[in-house]
Amino acid sequence: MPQHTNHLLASTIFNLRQEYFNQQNSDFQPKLWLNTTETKQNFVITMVIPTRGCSWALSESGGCSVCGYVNDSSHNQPIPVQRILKEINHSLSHVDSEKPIEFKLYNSGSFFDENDVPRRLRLQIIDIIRKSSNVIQLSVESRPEFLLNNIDVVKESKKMLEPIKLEIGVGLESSNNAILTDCLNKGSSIENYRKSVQMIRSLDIRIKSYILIKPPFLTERETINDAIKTVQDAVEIGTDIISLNPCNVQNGTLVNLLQKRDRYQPPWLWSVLYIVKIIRDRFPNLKIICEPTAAGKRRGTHNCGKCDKKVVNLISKIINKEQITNDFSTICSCYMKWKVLVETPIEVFRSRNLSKLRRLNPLTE
Amino acid sequence: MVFEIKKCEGWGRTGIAFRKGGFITPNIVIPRFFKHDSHFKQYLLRTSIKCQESLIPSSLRVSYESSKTQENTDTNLFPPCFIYPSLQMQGKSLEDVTCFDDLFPVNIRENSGSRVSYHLIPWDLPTIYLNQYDKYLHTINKFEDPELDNETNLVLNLPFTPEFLEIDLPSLRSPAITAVSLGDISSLLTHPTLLIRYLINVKSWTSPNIMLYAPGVPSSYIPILVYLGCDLFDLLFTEMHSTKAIPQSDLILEQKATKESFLQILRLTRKSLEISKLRDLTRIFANSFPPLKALLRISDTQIPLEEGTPLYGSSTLFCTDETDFTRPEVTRFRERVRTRYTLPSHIIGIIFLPCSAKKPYSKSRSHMLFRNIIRRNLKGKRHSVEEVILTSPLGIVPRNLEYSFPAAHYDIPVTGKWSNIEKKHLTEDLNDFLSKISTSIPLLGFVKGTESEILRKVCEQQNRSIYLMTLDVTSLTSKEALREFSILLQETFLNISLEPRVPAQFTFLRAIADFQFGKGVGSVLIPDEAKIFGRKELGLRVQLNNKHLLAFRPETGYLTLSLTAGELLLGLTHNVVTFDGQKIKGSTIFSKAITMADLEIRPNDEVLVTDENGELLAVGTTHLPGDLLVKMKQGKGVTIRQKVK
Repeated sequence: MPQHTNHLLASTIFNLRQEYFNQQNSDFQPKLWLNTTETKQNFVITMVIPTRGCSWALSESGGCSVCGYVNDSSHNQPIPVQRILKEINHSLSHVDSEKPIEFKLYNSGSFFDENDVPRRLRLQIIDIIRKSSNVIQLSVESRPEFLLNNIDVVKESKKMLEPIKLEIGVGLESSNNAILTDCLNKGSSIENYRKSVQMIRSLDIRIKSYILIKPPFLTERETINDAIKTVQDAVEIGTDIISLNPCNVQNGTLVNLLQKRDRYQPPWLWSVLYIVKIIRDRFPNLKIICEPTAAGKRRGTHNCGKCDKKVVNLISKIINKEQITNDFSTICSCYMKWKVLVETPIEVFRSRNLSKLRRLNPLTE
Repeated sequence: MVFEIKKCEGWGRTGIAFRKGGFITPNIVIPRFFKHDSHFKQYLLRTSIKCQESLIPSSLRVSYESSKTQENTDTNLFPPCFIYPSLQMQGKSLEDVTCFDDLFPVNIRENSGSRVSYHLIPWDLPTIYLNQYDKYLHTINKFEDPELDNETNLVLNLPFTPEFLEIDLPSLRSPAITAVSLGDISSLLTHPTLLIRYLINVKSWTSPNIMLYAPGVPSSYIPILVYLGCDLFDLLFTEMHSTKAIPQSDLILEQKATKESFLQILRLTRKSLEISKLRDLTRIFANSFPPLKALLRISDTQIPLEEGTPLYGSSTLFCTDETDFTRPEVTRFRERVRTRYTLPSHIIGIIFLPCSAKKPYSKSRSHMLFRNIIRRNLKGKRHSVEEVILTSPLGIVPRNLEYSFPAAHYDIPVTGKWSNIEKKHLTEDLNDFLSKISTSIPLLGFVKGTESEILRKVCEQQNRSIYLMTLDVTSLTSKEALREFSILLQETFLNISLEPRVPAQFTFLRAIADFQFGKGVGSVLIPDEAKIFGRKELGLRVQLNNKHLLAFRPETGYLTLSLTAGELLLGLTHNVVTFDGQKIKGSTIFSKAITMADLEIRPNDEVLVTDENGELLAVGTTHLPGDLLVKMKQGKGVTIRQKVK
């Protein structure tokens, strides 16, 4: 359990979440989400399974201020074990490609948390994957404390999977404990992260670190600084992969409430681009993932609405080390607006008009 | 840190911050990050790599590095306001913070490189966003004051949220905080009602010693925001609009928002404050932009601007639009006529006259003609008849108050047509005036048009008879009109008897004394045995037992007191200030030494200075309203005219 929480933040988030759960229909069906893509080397299956739900989000501390993934989990309903196993089997048997398979199995919580993913289910899943011939890697996620406390479970899973590689995604979000406590209510700390990474790396398991762009209560400028510093710290600690996640606003979360009150906005795509560019320059060999959810939409990272797709493309180009123009101001006029925002203290004196800054004015454009 | 007010009007004030080489307020402050903005990118690259050697705590490594910023070369402008990284970025929680030094790490502060500086208290906290301002303020109030040199100042941000208006906040206690910034005020500019409520609330939580800083507002808002109590502004608006990507807003006066235009308007604002014309300046700006006008319109009803408005000041008072009908000077005059003016007991008849363009009225051609006719027709009886002038926007002006500011100073655009609000005001005032007057007193209205109509209506309502000029003439000074006036005078005052005469100057001075110091003061202050020298238009001197008692100054229309007069007034008037001491040295009392002052006191009022036992020490003129006399810690309070030797 966390050493330190901000009670105001925790209770607000808890209440919001309960309110949202109560609103959810009684005939609510836990969601199972499946997606397949093909890259040059691999065939990637991404599956999100509805297990019990993140223990932290279901606890009295309410969970993280930006995370609403628990909304789609099973909560008190029985976990649809048969459906999950069937889907995994089905997806593996229907791969019409010769390429090796990378299987990403996310449960919006911690794979190694017995309360979230029951032992039986975990073993069943691992069994299916082990038996399928083409899988070379399994990716799962977990909060650091479950890696630390349930290290035996991790070891067991790793052993069972051999020779299939295991990759664990850990949510670091920020390397600043104050941000973790007072902005995110993460319930974890950089020290926990450090310990778990060191332990996991010694087991020859790859670590993917999730880093959040724009927690609530930070300005655009601060979030850029924080994200860059966090990446640097994560690399120093020894992460293998960095996944940059611009915040997207989900139902029943604190950021949702703040956004309604015009006191939170998702990050600009320009900020994401800027962060990615700096990190790419600094760590040329680092594996970076940045696929912004809901990019271009109001609830996701966005710019003015005109240049969103272009900038998302630019971001992936930078990650793939392609050369791009240095003069962003030619791409869209909103770049100058963003520049003003991060270079002047306007946002320090938080103006509710800032969200309007991004929108295009039909009379002047 | 010192802030003293030199002059005030409404809630606006001009003054000096810092005693030595001070900065005039209102002024422009430059908010800046610790590293200059243009280096943002390079500095990110540089600082993140070599952070180990840095003296800055590791939590600050990437966020902000302090650097020697160049001293502000423009001496007209305020020193820079340093923006600290938010507490989270500093790696702290609000609960961990126990003193100001935790908010402002000393090693950053010392590196600010600027001799005089402001430091914005980090405030971007969940506590504030989740509407727990009180918790935040309690924390700040709890702090011991840091050991700051005189030139480091702390700024607290009290950002606006709709919920903010509902919360009952503890007032700010720490004297280390010298300014409060009104975060988010720039998004309220087109919401006048919220803006006014926000300002009212902030004012009620902060002492007047604290300057208010309005970040990011356009220059056209400066005059009115100064009038409503803001002292500091910045150039964020111009910075924001310097790029072509953000179109200039549609403000007419904001065609080119440059630093120069800001400074120009700022200078204009200061200048008009000094000559008590700020209200006129706000009107000029308000007329060019609807939200500004709305702000001005509602500010009169929402904010007690009258308290800070000088008793007299500018040499003219122009009322050009409907907002001026409710401006503090006008409201105060009407209010005082209503509550402080009583018809002298020897008066047994009233003549209502129209106003004149030339002031005071009695110096105008028309009034000279009227008075001539009155003298010829009423002879000795004329001293028992009061002349009352009907006008807009002041309502009714008794002849004896025609010199008193603003009666002799106002001017309005004359078109012959009265607006509804003018009619309403005059009707109200007349109704009140007539209701206090015995029905046995005959009334004569030598007015035409709207005034005549209103007079008739009011008299009908009150079931009174009145003689009215009914002749349809183009001008009241025409021969027919004056002939009719003679007939009416004879008719109206036929039955009144010749009363023993009370010298006109006594009635005049007593009316002013009542008006200035409160009802009933006149007869005590100017006893029958007093001797009056001089002429009204050049000034009057009054002596009692061969000792100077008081003087009447025609340019303001008010009295100035001597110590003898002070003794007579003691216990009768509200205008009393309590001095913290036994003996006054020098000719000025500073507000620091004033322990009590009546809230009725207005700037430029004549006041009596007493010690704590109520013994009279001196008489003088105040610079500040009563409220500020007590609350201000620095600056002139009262200028002594005469004191006990």
